[in-house]
Amino acid sequence: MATAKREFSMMSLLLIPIGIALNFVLGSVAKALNLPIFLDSVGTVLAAILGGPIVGGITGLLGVLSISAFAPAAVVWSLQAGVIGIVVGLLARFGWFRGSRVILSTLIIVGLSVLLSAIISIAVFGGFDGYGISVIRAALIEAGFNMPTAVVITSAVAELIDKSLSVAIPMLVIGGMSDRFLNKFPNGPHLRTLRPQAGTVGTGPVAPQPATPVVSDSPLDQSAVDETDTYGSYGSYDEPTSKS
Amino acid sequence: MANPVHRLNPLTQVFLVLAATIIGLFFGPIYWACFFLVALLVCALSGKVKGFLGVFLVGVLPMGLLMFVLQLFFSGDGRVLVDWWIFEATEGGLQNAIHFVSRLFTIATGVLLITQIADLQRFARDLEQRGVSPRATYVIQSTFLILPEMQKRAGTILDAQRARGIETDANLFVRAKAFLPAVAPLILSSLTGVEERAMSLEARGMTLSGPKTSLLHVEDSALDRALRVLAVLAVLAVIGWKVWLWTR
Amino acid sequence: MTNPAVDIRNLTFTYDLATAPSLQDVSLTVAPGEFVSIIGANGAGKSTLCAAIRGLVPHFSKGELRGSVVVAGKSIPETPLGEMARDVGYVFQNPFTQMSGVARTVFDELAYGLGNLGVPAEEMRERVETMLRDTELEPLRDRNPFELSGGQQQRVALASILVMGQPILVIDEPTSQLDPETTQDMFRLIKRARDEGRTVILVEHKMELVAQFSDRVVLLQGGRVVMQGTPAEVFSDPRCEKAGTRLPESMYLRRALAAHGVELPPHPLTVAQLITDVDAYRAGRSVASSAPEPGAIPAEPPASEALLELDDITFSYPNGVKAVQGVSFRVGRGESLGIIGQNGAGKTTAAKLINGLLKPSSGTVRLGGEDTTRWTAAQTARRVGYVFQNPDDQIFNKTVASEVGYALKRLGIPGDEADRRVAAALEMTGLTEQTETNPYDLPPSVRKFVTIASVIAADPEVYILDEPTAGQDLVGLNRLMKILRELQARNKAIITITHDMEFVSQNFRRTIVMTGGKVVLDAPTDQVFYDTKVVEQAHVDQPAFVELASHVGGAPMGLSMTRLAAAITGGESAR
Repeated sequence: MATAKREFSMMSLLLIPIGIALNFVLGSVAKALNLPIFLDSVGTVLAAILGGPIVGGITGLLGVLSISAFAPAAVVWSLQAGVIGIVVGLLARFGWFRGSRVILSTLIIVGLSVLLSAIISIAVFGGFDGYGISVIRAALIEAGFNMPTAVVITSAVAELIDKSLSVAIPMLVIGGMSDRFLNKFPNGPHLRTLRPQAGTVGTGPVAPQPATPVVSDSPLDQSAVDETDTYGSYGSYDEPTSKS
Repeated sequence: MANPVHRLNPLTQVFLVLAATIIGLFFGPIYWACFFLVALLVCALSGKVKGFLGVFLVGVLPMGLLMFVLQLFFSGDGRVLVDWWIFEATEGGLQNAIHFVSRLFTIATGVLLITQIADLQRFARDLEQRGVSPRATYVIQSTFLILPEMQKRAGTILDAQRARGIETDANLFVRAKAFLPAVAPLILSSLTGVEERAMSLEARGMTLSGPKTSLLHVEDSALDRALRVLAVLAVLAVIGWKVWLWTR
Repeated sequence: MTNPAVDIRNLTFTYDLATAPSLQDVSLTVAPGEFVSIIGANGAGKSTLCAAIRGLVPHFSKGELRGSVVVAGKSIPETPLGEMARDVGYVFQNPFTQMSGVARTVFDELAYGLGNLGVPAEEMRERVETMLRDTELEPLRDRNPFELSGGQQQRVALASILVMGQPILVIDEPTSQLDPETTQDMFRLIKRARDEGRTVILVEHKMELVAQFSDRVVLLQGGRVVMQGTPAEVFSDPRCEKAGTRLPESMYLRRALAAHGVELPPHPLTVAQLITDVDAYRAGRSVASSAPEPGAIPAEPPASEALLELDDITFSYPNGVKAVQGVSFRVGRGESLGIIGQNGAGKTTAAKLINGLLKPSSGTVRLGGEDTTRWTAAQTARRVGYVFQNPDDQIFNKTVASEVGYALKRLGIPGDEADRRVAAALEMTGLTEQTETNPYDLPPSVRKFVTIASVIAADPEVYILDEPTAGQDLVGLNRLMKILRELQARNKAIITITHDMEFVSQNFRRTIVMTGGKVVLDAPTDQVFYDTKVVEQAHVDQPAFVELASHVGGAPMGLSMTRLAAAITGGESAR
């Protein structure tokens, strides 16, 4: 079983760069479609759902660290991204991404995001963190709210939209995956009621299996193909070519 | 262009920049100004000034300005300096503005400096030489190489879906509906790619037991070790000093 | 055999969650230095067998394995997957996913595997240098592997494995995505590996390669070994074609000539062999070299009313690369033509200009008389259907049926009409059994038919098929031919981009050759391949028929089997 575990870990490992890359690229697709959303955690959520908490955490952390080459200030949020990745991974691992529990999980994630975002924003930057959303916070403060409240309100709205989409998109895509495909990923079996993984090498006698039909060669239907004009019969080679 | 900083061991570079940044968090704008100038000088020696300044001006300065204005007019209290419409600048606000913006700039300067002068491959190799598993370093390096290809693929997929009749040039609602078909194939094929690349790496022996070799060797000199120790001591000294001041 | 390289006995393997075994009771023994090719339809278990030899099955792709697999003296189920990297090299179809992702240059890419083997630095350098030279990859040594073309990446992938020096090589469909010239490059590398004494296990659809190099051929059907033997033995057995796999072109040609009264020795495995046989035949019959002049081939009558018109199209990418220059041609209703040329010649760019994904920098594209430049790509999609090269660029629904029907809603087709169209499209593409199957559970070559069905369901006037023949087995090729015939019968205009010259010569009356963004020849297919200058310029191949006919010489015979037979026999066959 040690080898099975190791092989899983290769798949887990490779989910990380894919997750980080998807974080970037999906955001640019949204931009290409001129959609007013700023998605940068879809990859983290995907990696966490399929790979578990460690994969999710590393994807989140490294993902934000990677952006820092272009947006240095983002570094301070790397911890938040990491924690979200871990939490998503844990929730998925314990079956909280199955069926309608997803909604509750999403709310937990949103809540956690808001909390962390608020703490970081206030502790490091005093609430005005240089993103456009800060202007709305200023307006709220003018209206009489105190800073923490203003931060929580604005973050809540932003995170609700962002995290809901970040969960919805991976779940929709995973919904289209077959059981066999999903089973290749470490967390796969926890997302659906799949058979427990065999993952073993069975040698020797096994309980007699009912006669199963042989896997058909080609999934394509071969019966209707015309016998006379098949590949290699050069059927077309005997008419003069200038026939329209 | 002989840049002594460049030739330092990557870990040393990280230590030094990290130390300078952490220390900077305890000081104000004057520290930052010096830090910034030193960073600029180091980048100049490596020919990276354009990159450094470019990102700073585009990515950091606007944030700093916004932050400054908001802190000045909407936070803190004390003597009022300017009062116009809803904009009320206070002395407290000014202090806040200076404090937080110099913090932002200090962090940004540190991050920018390390991203401009650090060589990812050397860093990964150094970690491996110190015993870090190649799998960990793989993750660090591979993201940047895979990313441009994925970007291209995203464009191809968008085209492919448009060619099916999925409209991308109409109103917001239509465009929003195009998002899932635009990204789903990208995600799915990235996932099959995970499996295939895992097999390729197996084929190249990534999971072989035994010592790995490399054409790249990263030096770690006595100077490097000394500098790292110095960096840690400096940080501790500053923290210690601040604690002592605070307890008085 | 004392120390076989590969010793498989009674291997039965069922993937996790699969309903039936992918391999059943397979036994195969390969001697060191032997070259064994595995053939069969897509889905027969070829890739699973390859994976088992490398140990990816059962360690990587989980499932239940029964029987024994011993490779290089090690029992696969009991050996950790990583350890097999010393003994077995593994190359597969997709160039991109074989790039490691940690190498910034091709040089480093080749060195990576050696580093994992723990080879000392000096030796590493030497071996990489030698391999770069031997594989003609020297000019690319400092390039970023991810900036190379697919063909270049595939060569790098093979070189990166070869340099590791494993005694056994498993190569799974290495040339499916490559153009003819790069395919030849890969063939040369594989031949070199064979000459160095390595054991090679190859899966390929290009039977000429299989026939040329194999010591032994193993035919799989339904996960079982149907037969094995020398190439001649296997290809001459009728079970081969029944199993859904192609034969070498020379054998098809021989068979057709026999039907025209030219009896040549059985199973010529290569075209070169066939040519030798024909020479011997003619010498033995003292054929007078003058065959009756049948007269020049009449010119093609003007095309029916043009549905699609490209008028002096030029297109440049933002980076200044001129992808298409001054291209003009017209396609009428019911016309089916092929576009050929090497990768980078501008074929796909021209196709995208036709379906509106790209707008020409100058010139016009007219569909049914209307200028298409003002339409969006999605609007053009109603009238021009484009089957993309990579079906995975489009597929994301859970079942084949929902995937095929997906875009119909967007095109404004009501529910039951849509269902009817989906059913009809699935019928035409031979996918009626797979309605509820998840597309990603199908082999990639069959997924191609899912995207073809999607386009058929949309019922456009013009069809563009981009590389539909890549990686197809005989079943797939026959199905494609049937689809082309039916679409043509419905008076659709069909443009097919392909690297398969045999397929072109058997299906399209007209062929356009592109190179460097220009159309260098637009002529009836039976003339195109005789133009050796163009063939060379465009880096394409001649079909076997043309090779033979050129060699026999005499009057122009286009693509007429009758004329070729007549030329060979000196005019005595009057069928």
